Amino acid sequence: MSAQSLRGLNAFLFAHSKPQLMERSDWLMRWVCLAYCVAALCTIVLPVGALFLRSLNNADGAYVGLQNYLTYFSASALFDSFLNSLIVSLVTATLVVPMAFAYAYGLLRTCMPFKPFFRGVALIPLLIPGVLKAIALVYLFGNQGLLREWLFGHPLYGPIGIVGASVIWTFPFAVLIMLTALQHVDQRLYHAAAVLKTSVWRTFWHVTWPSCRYGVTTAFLVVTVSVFTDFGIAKVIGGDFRVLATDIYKEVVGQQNFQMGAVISVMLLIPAFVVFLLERQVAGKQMAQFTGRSLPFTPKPSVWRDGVFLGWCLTVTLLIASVLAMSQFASLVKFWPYNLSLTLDHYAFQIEGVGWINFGNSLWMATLAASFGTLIVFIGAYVVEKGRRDAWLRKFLQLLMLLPMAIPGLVLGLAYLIFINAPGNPAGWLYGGMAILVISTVTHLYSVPHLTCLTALKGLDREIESVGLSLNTPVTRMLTQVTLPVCLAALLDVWLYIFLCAMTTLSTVIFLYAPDTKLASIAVIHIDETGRVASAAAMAMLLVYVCLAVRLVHYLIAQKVLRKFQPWRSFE
Amino acid sequence: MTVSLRPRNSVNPKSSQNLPTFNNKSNTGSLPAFASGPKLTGARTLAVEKLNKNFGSTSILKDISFEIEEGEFVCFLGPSGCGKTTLLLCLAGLESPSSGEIYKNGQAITSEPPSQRDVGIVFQSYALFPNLSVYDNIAFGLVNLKWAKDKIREAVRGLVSLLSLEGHEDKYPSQLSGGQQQRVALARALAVSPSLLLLDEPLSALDAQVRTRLRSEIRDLQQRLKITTVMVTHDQEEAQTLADRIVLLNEGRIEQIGTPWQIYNEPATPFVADFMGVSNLIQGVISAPNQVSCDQFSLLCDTQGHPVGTRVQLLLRPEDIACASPPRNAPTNLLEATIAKIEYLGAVVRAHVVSATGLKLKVDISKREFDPARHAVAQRLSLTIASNDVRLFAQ
Repeated sequence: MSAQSLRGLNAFLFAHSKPQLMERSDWLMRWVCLAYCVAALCTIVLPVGALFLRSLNNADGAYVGLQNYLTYFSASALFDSFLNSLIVSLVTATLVVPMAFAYAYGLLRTCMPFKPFFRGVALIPLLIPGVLKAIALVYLFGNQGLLREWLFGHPLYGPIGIVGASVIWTFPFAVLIMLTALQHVDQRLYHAAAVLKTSVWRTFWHVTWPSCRYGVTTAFLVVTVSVFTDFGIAKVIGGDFRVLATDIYKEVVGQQNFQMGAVISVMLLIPAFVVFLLERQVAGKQMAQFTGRSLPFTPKPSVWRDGVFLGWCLTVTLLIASVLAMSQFASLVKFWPYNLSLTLDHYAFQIEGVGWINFGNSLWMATLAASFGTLIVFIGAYVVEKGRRDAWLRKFLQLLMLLPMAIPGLVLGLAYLIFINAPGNPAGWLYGGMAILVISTVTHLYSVPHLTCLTALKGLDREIESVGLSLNTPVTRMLTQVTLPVCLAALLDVWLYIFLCAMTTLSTVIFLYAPDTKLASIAVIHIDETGRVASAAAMAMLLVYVCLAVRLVHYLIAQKVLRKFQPWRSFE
Repeated sequence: MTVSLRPRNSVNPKSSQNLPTFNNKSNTGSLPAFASGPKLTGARTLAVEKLNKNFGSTSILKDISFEIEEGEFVCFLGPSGCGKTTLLLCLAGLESPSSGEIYKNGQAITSEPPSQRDVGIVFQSYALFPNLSVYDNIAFGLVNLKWAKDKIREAVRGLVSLLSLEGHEDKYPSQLSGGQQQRVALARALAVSPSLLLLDEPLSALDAQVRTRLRSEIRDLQQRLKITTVMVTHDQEEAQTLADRIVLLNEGRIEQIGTPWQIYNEPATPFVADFMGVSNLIQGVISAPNQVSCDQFSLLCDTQGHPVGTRVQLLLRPEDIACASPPRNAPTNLLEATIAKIEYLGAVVRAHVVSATGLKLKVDISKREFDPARHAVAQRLSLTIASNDVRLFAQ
């Protein structure tokens, strides 16, 4: 763009506001803000728009209005999947939320021992790809599983398997949300209740419950929508039980029926979007409850209560440990269940189209996504939070940045597929390359890191920027001397989050890979399809090991290295 | 040294006394020497003209105009939400006014960004860079000016000793007490020798004792450096002890500008009277020249030529009501009352009294005059109020 057209654009957009008090940094932020809006338009709004349009077209690309939707609702098999998805996700949420509540309650409100250990255990499922949890369940409860009698003859493949694997998969999300909710309570309320001679139950319903009910609601919504939109678990352990996510996959990959895939995607998108809106509203209410001056809760020991919660946390630990151990064992056993001798053969991946190269691809893709993603997310959050001018533009950008949270990965992936292959799209060359995998993954994961960065930036007083301005500090110096060092810990967290999620991501990239950019998570699905479950487990275990190793390195850097080079942290 | 110790301008003792321009209708005769404001050169360094600020449809500042002289210490005083901080931010360039102009040495600077305004700013929250040591915090602005390292070291050393921060140079902000952090913030603002120092409630986050000490230090510092200073505060005592002149704001408007003495003794409006210190405000009507009747009770006072029948509000300071011998040289009101409540405030004892006609007043009795036997609940008092101690506001 020429300088003149830039000036014209500026005049058009900001004609109503007086060009008063604009620092050079304000101009810079305005243009960065606009660039982000354009980028968000290209990576979110336009692809999803293309998906919508496709759902209104027939196979030849002619506009047919709502014809596809009518077909969808009249085909009872297709609509059954919708109900199946709904039931499975609601059942999972109903199971997980009380489990997580009790677990988090044990961690925060009792005096049971080994709390840091249990806190770590709860997060382990985050490091295990969902598909692997399903495979572990197959080895535990499948037709030839160790504990198959426990199901009393009911088949694992189908709703039971999906719910089981989903419970383990979503447990850490629910625990994290419950931990936050239970943390924010004022001990003085408990003191007041005790002074007024309130019974334990009355105290629970009138003090504990009101302080965490929004957390419970949020956890329920998050779990429901995660399971509703998940693809991998249903694919591996769903059997003949149809859900929306596998339907989309079958329509698109099996029958090349893009318009029906688009219709089902919309059916997936709408509930996810509604839940997103609900969740945002609930989160706002939760925030309004906090006051800065609350006294943090410190529990008093009680033998029977501490014992009960210790028992519960041990049970969950055992469950998670057995899943992890079973996965490892499955990948090492020669021929389950007939030859239980151990071998590393399954790690050789002698299957066509699959190999260690997929693992390398995953590593490379996750590293790229985490590194570029962290940079992009931080700059975006900086502009939104620290900008002084153009409040409406920054609000709009903030809205765009939360949007990915509302879009299921599978829907975003299909939207990218349709958008990028649309005739005349100048970005068409991206299709099949590594870049499109990185872009789609970063877009899909964008919202949570964005919120993390916002929180970190909010921790740095707005007035600090004012001081910087009054001292005539260039924006680059402010950034490198103050803002970046202070936010470094949060940036490391963001890097880790994107890396871990990118390593195990499946639904976003399943439509977008090419043979030479196939990721390990996709390879797991493909190996599983050939029936060599042990090799699938082996490939998934590789991901687990990388995730564990990276998590460890992150811990060392965040705890030791950062403290050493940023001595001020130890006085916080 | 040093940049920051150099006087901004010399004081000229022969400069004309800066007589108050507001509410000069006092009947107290000649003003005491300290009442007439600072002895300044008279050079207007900063002028604000018809400044307005709106957020959407709410108007935060309405037609604000005033001038600040070089070397002057001005306090923006008012209740919370009166717009005083917004006004300060406008001076700093951190907020842009909706209309109006700000002039510095005669030049309009309204649309100049903060970095071009040559101001130092100190916030209530200290706003120190948490990851930088005390030394680096103070040196931050000087590094921006690309000073040589040894020159910076010298300047920082001067500021550290000026603000008694010796021994803390290598510490981080979170290792310091609130008072020390605020000193560092002051040193950082002063380091670049700004022509205007802006303080946004700098003492409000500190505990009472530290606050009083730092208050007098800020005043000493300002006097030594002769730096033009504007401070925002909601604490009238703070404003009275620090300021050469007070700009009293209420709901976005200036209620009064004047020296602390004028603001307290010659309040322009009932709001000012009520905001500054303790007051008795009584409703009444002018019943005859120099006589106001309030509820079956009439009071002699200067009615300032307002016609009979005008509704008025009268201000009586508790310390101006005597319960001993009447003052000699002015017409005096006499009033019988009963003590309803006694409050021991230390230097004075405040009696809440009710007159026979039901008028409720607060009366201060100095410690020396206080007699526990006579000044007890249910005891009767004879009160005398000099007519020239009554302040009248026509409505």
